[in-house]
Amino acid sequence: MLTRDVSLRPHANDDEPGRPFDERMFNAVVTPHLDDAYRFARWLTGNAADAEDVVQESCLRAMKGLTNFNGHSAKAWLVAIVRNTAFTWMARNRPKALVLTDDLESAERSCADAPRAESPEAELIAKADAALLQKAIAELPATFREALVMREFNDMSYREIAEATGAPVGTVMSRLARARALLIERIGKELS
Amino acid sequence: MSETSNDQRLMMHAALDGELDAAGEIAFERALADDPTLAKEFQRQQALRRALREKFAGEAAPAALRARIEARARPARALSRRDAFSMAASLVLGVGIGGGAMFLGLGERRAPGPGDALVASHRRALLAANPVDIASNDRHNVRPWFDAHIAVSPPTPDLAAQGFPLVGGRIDVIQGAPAPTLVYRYNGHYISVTALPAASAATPAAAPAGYHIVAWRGEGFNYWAISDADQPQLEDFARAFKVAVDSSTPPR
Repeated sequence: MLTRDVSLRPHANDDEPGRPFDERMFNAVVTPHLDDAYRFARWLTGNAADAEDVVQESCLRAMKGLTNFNGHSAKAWLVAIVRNTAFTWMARNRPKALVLTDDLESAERSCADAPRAESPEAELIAKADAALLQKAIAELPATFREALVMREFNDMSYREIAEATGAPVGTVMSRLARARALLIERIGKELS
Repeated sequence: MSETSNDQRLMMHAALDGELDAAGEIAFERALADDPTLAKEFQRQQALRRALREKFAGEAAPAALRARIEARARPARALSRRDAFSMAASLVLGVGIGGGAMFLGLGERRAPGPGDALVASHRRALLAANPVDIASNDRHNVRPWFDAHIAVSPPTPDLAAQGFPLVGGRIDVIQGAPAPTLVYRYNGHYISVTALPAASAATPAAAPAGYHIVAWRGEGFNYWAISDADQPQLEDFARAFKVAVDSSTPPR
């Protein structure tokens, strides 16, 4: 439509000293991970409209806290902000959706449960449809679910998940193992 | 091997997630060969992984959301200095356009500036029977009309090809002085573009809910575009306007 590109560089602010908002840094740190931020928020809030609100608010927080970025994983940093934002946002707007699990500690300590005798065959698991999987994921305890989502849908490494959640890598591993065991168990129950 | 240990199970997950080093991979392959229970469980995990990846192909952030965030990142430079972002939900109202300055503002802590008068004029024009004093889609009619009435003739680009047909022009009174305002149409919306003398103040303006303002500095004029069209469309318009004006101005 346009015949040539127009630079979007804003006019320099020369009237006030101090550390200006670094647009380039924002575009390097935050913008590339918007899809991941949205995807994560989508799973956490359960719907698209809430996810948009959460991501928008998260990005405003990210703008404000850009200088706090430690330079490790930008994705983990942004996802951590989304995680915190989603939590407060849900508490404020969807208080009924927040389920706090008391016995998580013990659940986590038991690590990955040994698979049950009636564990479903791999072929059966492959048949699970989106609705079933979605429901099973939604019903996971929050810490298990976020680890699973970060790993499977945000393609984050154990270290990145640990960074984003503040949990040790060993805990991340056991949460993931536990989340997967629960999903498989659930699929087995539904489809057998 | 009868019992699969917890450690082996964790190793299996690490293998699935590509977190094992070479030595770990070898150890895992050995364990897999020795332990049919572990091998079966690994198959189950791989099936689950495949099912998740197939059923939930990565959903991208909606384009509108991305556009909103990128638009906010642009003017945030001016805002962050004043910590205006302390209210997460605050609205950013102005967006800078290439090379020119940007003026933006929040609802509070500012004196009324030309922006307020411009918004008021735009709204009043929408309420009137006709949003223009001279109705013409021909810029060669509109420009001389301004010249004849207020001895000012701002650039009047033809943007019909870009989706913004010219509707006409009107004269607003901004801070006690007459100011030429061009009116363009975008789908069902009107866009008012007022050209103020370049020396005019650039006070940030808060658009009332439902309206958007984009301001930029051009050759000889400061431009203010006001509309109830969405912010991205208004920015597109401002960009198109600027490109058209720049390319029609002979280089000096």
